[in-house]
Amino acid sequence: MMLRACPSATRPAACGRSSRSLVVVRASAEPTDSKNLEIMRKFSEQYAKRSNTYFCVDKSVTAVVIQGLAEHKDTLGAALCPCRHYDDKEAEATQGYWNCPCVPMRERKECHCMLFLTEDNDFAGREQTISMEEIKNGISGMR
Amino acid sequence: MALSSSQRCTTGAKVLKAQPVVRRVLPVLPATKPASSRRVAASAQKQQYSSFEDMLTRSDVPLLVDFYATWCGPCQMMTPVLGAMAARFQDRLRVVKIDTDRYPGVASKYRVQALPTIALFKGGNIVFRFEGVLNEAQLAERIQYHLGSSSGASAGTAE
Repeated sequence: MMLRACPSATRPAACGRSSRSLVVVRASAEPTDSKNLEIMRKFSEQYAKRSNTYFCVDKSVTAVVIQGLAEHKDTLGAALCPCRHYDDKEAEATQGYWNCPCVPMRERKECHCMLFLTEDNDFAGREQTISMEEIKNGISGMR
Repeated sequence: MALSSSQRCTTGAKVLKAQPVVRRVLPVLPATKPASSRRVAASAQKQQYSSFEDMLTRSDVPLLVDFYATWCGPCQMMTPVLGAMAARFQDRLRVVKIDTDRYPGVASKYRVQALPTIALFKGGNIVFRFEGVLNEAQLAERIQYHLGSSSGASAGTAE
């Protein structure tokens, strides 16, 4: 993930997209840069309030999705939706349709990640906040 | 990988410990890097296909496949439901989870988009497909329909 901060002008070839895509494959084994995790946590709280949506009654679902968003932000530079399969993640992150908040969410409040749930959704809880501790607990024990 | 707080899950799914019968795709593939990058050699991808295709063609019972990703929240909700299906249908059904980050070729081949995607393969073809979370009753009803057996297991227990 540090390759994006490529400092040296003497090895431009290694700083290109090809290097970054190598990092993508290892992301899941490493803890996310906690800065992006905090950024996505704050974003989720703010966006839930702004959109009048609520977190899942089971907060571990919320936690897992926020972790997924943070990880994509680390590896791709954008919070690409973690609940989708893509043929080309980098192209999708650049294109933007599935960058959180995705177009379906912005237009129709549809979030299949169950991160932002409308009040009438069976799985919606009553909370629009989630602490970092709740996130750590929710993702503990996972790869 | 059951949710730590899955007991509060409102789907009504019974909470089960991870069942050994819920298996990942056989680890017979070469140790290629999870091919999120498109630079995996074509031959490695072909090997991925042929293992899954192998499993599909060789399986004499229908195959229930869960396409998931690690950090997909709703995918985690399916874990206990899949365990329940394995327990309910026993030898009449084979349950497999496919990590779409590790096996993107398979996921792309079957046009998997939203996760989780549940697909029931019968005779190598998809006979039922659903994007999203299903609870035990819903999924069991669909599987039972396609298994087509008259003597269902525990005849339709209401959730």
